[in-house]
Amino acid sequence: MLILSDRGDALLKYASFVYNSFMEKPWAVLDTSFWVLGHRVDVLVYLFRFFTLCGPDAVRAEVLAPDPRYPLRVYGYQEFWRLVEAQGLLTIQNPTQRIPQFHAGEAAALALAQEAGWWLLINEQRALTYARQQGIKAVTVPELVVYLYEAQVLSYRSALAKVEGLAANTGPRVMQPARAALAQLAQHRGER
Amino acid sequence: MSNPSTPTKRITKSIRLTSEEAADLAQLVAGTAYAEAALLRQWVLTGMQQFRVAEAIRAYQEGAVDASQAAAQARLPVAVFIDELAARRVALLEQPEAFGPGLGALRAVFGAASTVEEPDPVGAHRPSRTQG
Repeated sequence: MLILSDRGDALLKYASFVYNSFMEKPWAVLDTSFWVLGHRVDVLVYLFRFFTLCGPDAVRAEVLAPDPRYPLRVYGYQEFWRLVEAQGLLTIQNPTQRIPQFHAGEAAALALAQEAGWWLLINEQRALTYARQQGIKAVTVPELVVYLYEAQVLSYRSALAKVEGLAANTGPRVMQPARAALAQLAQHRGER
Repeated sequence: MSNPSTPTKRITKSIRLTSEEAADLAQLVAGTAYAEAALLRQWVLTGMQQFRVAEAIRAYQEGAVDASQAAAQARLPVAVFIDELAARRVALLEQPEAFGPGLGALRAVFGAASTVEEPDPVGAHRPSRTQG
């Protein structure tokens, strides 16, 4: 169900109801899958308004590892990681243990989110399923995009373009409710 | 890993081409600065890497391996492999439950707030709003 305010126009007039200035931003742990896919649809920058971001060393290593086919190439998601890390917007935090059935980055990110009770930003099915079974608050890229539209941070056109940009890497059973959520809210707002 | 100061011993592999294919190859090489053997070697190496990636993606799609194992099979870092999956239109999320709980959690924590003050991404506040 979408959040539709009864106060309608008054609330819609103002852009942002996603952030309470008195609230400390919750911590969120990044996984490689979220960082790479989030970068492809250009939503990573919005994370900073909601969360204090961190990533384990293992995720950092996965993100920054050079492509052996093109050793001089630097991908955008790598450059952005370096940039926000250098500015102190992204810190390195490590768990005390790893979850053995997952690869290094996922194992560390899952363990850290679980140990610390932090959010997990992840976009890979197997680890996501595990995270939700463990009660970790996990967010995928399509969920973030739809939420950014609900929060009026993104326009309908922008959110739709981002959701469609995810279609290539997201199964139809995930895309369908994402598109439906956008369409329902857009219709309610008279933007569609 | 081989020592860069010691030349790696190379083994000869031969292939058979039809006369048409051989003529085609000669035509491709003619007028370039490359030796035919050097080009053939480069094509084989490139093709091997492409095949490795394609096979790893197939294994990932069949559920035989996870992203990390597939990346290792492709001899690529995990992030590069995920990017490769994205470029080749391979789904990373497929189950319907991948959409919904996270959105609900975002709403529960951030959504109901009626405070309209615009935040700055790093914590300070500024008066204007960001357009999406």
